[in-house]
Formats: sequence, C-alpha cells, structure tokens
Amino acid sequence: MHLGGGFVACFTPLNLAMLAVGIIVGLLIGVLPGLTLVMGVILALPFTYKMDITPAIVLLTAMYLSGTYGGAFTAILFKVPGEPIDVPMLWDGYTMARNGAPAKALGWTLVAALAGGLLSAIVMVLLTAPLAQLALKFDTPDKFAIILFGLCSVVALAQGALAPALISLSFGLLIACVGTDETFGAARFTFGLPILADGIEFLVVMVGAFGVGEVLGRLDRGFKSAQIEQVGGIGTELPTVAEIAGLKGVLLRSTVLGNIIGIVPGAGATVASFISYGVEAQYGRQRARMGKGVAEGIVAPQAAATASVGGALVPLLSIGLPGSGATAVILAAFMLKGVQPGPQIFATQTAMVYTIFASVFLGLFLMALIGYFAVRPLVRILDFPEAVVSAFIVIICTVGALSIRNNVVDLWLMIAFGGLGYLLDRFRFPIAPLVLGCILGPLAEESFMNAMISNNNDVTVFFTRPIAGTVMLLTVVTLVLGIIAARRVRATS
Amino acid sequence: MPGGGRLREATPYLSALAVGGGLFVVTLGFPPPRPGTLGPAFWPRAAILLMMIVSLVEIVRIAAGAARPATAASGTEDDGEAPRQPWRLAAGGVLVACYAASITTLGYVLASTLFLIAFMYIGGYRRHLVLWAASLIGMLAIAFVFLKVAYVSLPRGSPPFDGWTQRLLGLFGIN
Repeated sequence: MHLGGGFVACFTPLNLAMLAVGIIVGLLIGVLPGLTLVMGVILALPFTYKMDITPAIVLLTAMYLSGTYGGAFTAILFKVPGEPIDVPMLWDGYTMARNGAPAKALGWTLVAALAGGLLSAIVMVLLTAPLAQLALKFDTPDKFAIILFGLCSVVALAQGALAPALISLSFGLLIACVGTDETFGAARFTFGLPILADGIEFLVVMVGAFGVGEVLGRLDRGFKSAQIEQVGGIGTELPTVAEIAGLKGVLLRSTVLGNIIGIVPGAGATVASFISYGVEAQYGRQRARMGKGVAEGIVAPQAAATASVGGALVPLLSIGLPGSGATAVILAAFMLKGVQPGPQIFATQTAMVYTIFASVFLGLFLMALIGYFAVRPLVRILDFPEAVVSAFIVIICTVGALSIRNNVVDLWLMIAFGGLGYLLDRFRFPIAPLVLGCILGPLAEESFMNAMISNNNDVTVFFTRPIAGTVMLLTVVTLVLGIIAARRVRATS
Repeated sequence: MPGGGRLREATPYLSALAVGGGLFVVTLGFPPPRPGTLGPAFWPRAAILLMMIVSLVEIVRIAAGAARPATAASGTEDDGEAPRQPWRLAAGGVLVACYAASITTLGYVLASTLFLIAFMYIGGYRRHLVLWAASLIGMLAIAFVFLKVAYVSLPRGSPPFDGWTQRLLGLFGIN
C-alpha cells in the first residue's frame, strides 16, 4: 500500500469523521487559552480506547495539527495567545491587527500554516520510510543512545532551567520503575501493594500532571484571565499571489527550521515558533521592522509551528521516539493499542501509516477551509468561563484515569500526580521531562540492560559502535549546550 | 538574597534530596544482581543518584548566594500577575479528593454532576442558572459520548445510587 491507498482509506466514514472532529476540536483547543495543545490531546485519549488504531491516530494527529493554528486567532484579534506557540504572534500579528488589518493578519496565518504544513508533510512522507529502514539496522546500544538523546534533548531545551528539568526527568524515570522489572522480574517500589505490581500507567501521570495539575494551578490564581478586548472585525483576507511570492524565502526557511526542530526529540511547535521568529528577527530582510506588524513576523512562527508537526511524526513512526509532547501522547495511544511504532510498523501496519500520512495532507486543507470560514464561531468559545472549562477538564481526566484498568486506585494516583504537577509548576520545574521520563524510561532501561547483558557489561559499546557513538556525541553536545544556555540565562538575569 | 529567600528557593532541592535518600534506602531491599548482570536496582539507583547530585549542586549554588533565573514553566501559561488564593486551592483540592472518594458509591454520573456544580462555585462562577444547566446538560452530554459512543466503562455506583444512575441514563437512552 502507498500514499494513494492512504488517501482512499481516509475517505472511509469513520476515518473522515475522526479527521473532521479532530480538526475542529484541535482548533477549539488552540483558541482556548486555558487548555494547551498537549492537554487537549491527552483529554481526547479516552475517546479512542475502543476505536481501532487508525481512526484513533487520525483523530489525535488532526487535533495536533489544527491546534498549532487555532491559537493564532485569539493572539491576533484579542492579544491573548491560545497556546504558548502563539506568543510570537502577538508581536506582529496583533500589531498588524491594531494597525487596521486584522483580516490580513489572519490571512497570512492561514497561508503560513497551510504552506508550512504541506511542505513538512511531503518531507515526512519522504523521510519516514528510509529512516525506518535505517532503524532496522539499529542494535540495542544504538536504540539506547537514541532514547537517551531524546531524553536529554527535552532537558537541554528547558530554557535555561537545566537542573529542575533533570530532577523532573529523574522523577519520571523513577515512576517508570514502579512495578515488576521487565529484565529481572523483581518487584520495585511496590511497597507490598498488589496494584503497584503492575506499575503506574504513564497515562495516569500525564493526565494528572498536565490536566489536574494545570487546573489546580489556575484555581490557585482564582481563574483570573487577561482582559479581552477585540481589535477589529473578525474575518480572513488572503494575501495575493504576488505577496506570497514575495515571502517565499521566509516560508521556506521557516518550514525547514520547523521540520528540523520537529524531528529533534523534545523540541516541538513552541520551540519551532520562537526560534523561527528569532531567526527572522536577526537575519531576515525585514529584521528592522519585525515587531511593527509585518507579515514576516506572522509567517515565520506560524509556518515553523505547523511544519514541526510533520517533523515530529518522523521519529515517532520510524523509530518510536516522540518528537514533541503531543507526539508523546500519540505514542501512548499506539502503546495502548499494543502497537509499538518503529521500523517494524512499515511491515506490520502499512495501511495505517499511509492513512496517517494522507490524513495529514487532507487535514491541512480541511483546517484551512474551516479556519477561513469559521473564525467567528470558533472565537466564541472565549465566552466560556475558565471555572466551567476547568471543571469539565477534571471530569474528563477522571474518565482517562478510570478507564485504563477500571481501578479507582488509578484515580487516586491521578490526583496525587495532579498535586505533584501543581507543585512542579509552582516551583517552576518543567513537567514535560517528568512525563517523557515515564514514557521513555522503560524503553531506555530495557535497551540499556539488554545491551549490557549482550556485551558482557562493557559500557564502551555505547561509544564504539558508529551509530551509538555518533548519537552519544550529539547527546553530550546537547547537554553541554544546555549547560551553557543555563549559565547564560543565569548571567543575564 | 536573604536567608529566608534562599531557604525557600532551596526547599524543592532539599525535598528532592530527602526523597532520593529515602528511595535509595528502599532499593537496598531489591534482589541482589545475578552474576554477570547489573541487577534490578542499577537503573533506579542511577536515576536517584542523578536527582541527588543535581539537587546537591543546586543547594550549594543557592547557599553560595547565586540567584535562580526566572524561567517560564513548560506546558503552562504564565499568568503570574494574579495573586494566589490558597483557600480556593485548598477547597478545590478537598473537593477533588471527595469526588474521588465518592465515585464508587455514587457512580460516575452522579458524583461528577455534584462535582461540576461545587467546583464552579468554588471557582467563583456565580451565574446560577448557567452553572446548574451547564453541569446537568454537560454531564449528560459527556455520559452520552463516553458511555454510548466511546463505550468506556465507568462506575455506576452502589445501591441505591446505581439504580438512580440507571434510571437517569435510561431516560435519555444511554445504557
């Protein structure tokens, strides 16, 4: 089966319905400031429990895709970024709107999201299969090196908060150790409780830390949101072909950046958005006018953010490594269905893979269509009070926790991790490393232990094999850059 | 930085150090490694040591007087201008705990409906008609989606609440 078959499969009623639902819900999540993209995808997970794997992944991927675009509406019209991705949109998008051209600003956002997404989807299709073939040559030391790189990237990209990120990661790795050890069959950290012998489901950690923890944090602030004052009318005016041609360099540059950043484990749409804006502000032709309402300031972050989706799907599908927080949730969805993404997936689940590819292409067009016509009803969701939305988030999180093992202990664990998530946020410790540690920790331990057993406990095997050695070098460089960044942040503050 | 501020900043790292120490002691009770293997305690001890070493470094750094850079917490929106409301947080926390404690007795639908109403009041929302309508209608919509569309199994509760749940859901064709 190839991409054509994937397009045909997308048009089956269930897949098409999930694609449409995913795009609309993703746009809504993007618009709502109180709900992050990752949280939204987590909340959607319980809906997919009884689905087949293909419509489940189509739904979650569609939400991920459109979530990178929806938040721009409120950033441009109301100076309220729907997602952290959209903070750069305030600098030129909102300014352009305030200068009397909100519809044009929304038009540039649409074009950037569509173009960035399409180019990145093409790269995704071209890269994933060859990378999966390369991954078939990986042995356990190589797998461990790649997973370690993924974990370290999350830490190093913690915006200067290296120590808190490392501690958060360590907690995640330890949570993943609870239960019966896969290699030696020993009970670890079970404290005599039978329920803990099966371990702690990472979904419980995710839902608790990201969902309940976020709600508690907002409750602590009394659900105080920014004052919303609308700027201009709500509509979309597309730029002309000549105008788009004039910005083709920005589009291409931002798309490539977004793609590369999306591929790097731990970096996601937020990093892509900020870095792309930064590059344009430093090196672009219009750098002197950035921040004054120029189209470049809209196109650069938006194209990169949407392009990062295709990039993040590459390592997820080819080697089973999530490229971002949202793809970590999608990885969780795969694992809940008993499917391990990675090189084998092209052999065992070919139809699903190409259907996902096709759904990204179709989803982009659907997203652009809905975004063009439905901005006005979408932004009405801002009328929903935060207290109301947060209450519903908690009960949906409860479904997520209860439906894994039908055990109320998971509900209590979710609440405990909600408390932990609140505390981590309160003391400015990032939560993403905790969750990724939970998800990737078992894979890292398994590959490390197998590598050591196979190589007579010779730790140099991680540095002498070509692939493992190269990746370990990248890991060390990433960590060193992270330490330098942390020191620089400390010095400037 | 005054001493109180340093202690506050060091608190999370001191806590991590203490937790790490406790967990390390727990790993002493794990089965010993078989000959030629690293054993089940190796990996968790590596994670614990990482946590303890980083915590120790930060504690020393804070004690030496270096300030922590202000960084945004990942995955959350920073609305740091609004003052904290600990009573609201405490009330919400207690409510969430009561919700979890009651869910097997009342059932998911009844417990969640009561939770929605109470949480919105604690959250400061005071449009009563909207609050009650949103809670009741929203809960029914969620029950429909999860029970009838997604076929997720959720607690129905103990008698007599399971009967109430059954009758209520039956009224709307949700079984």
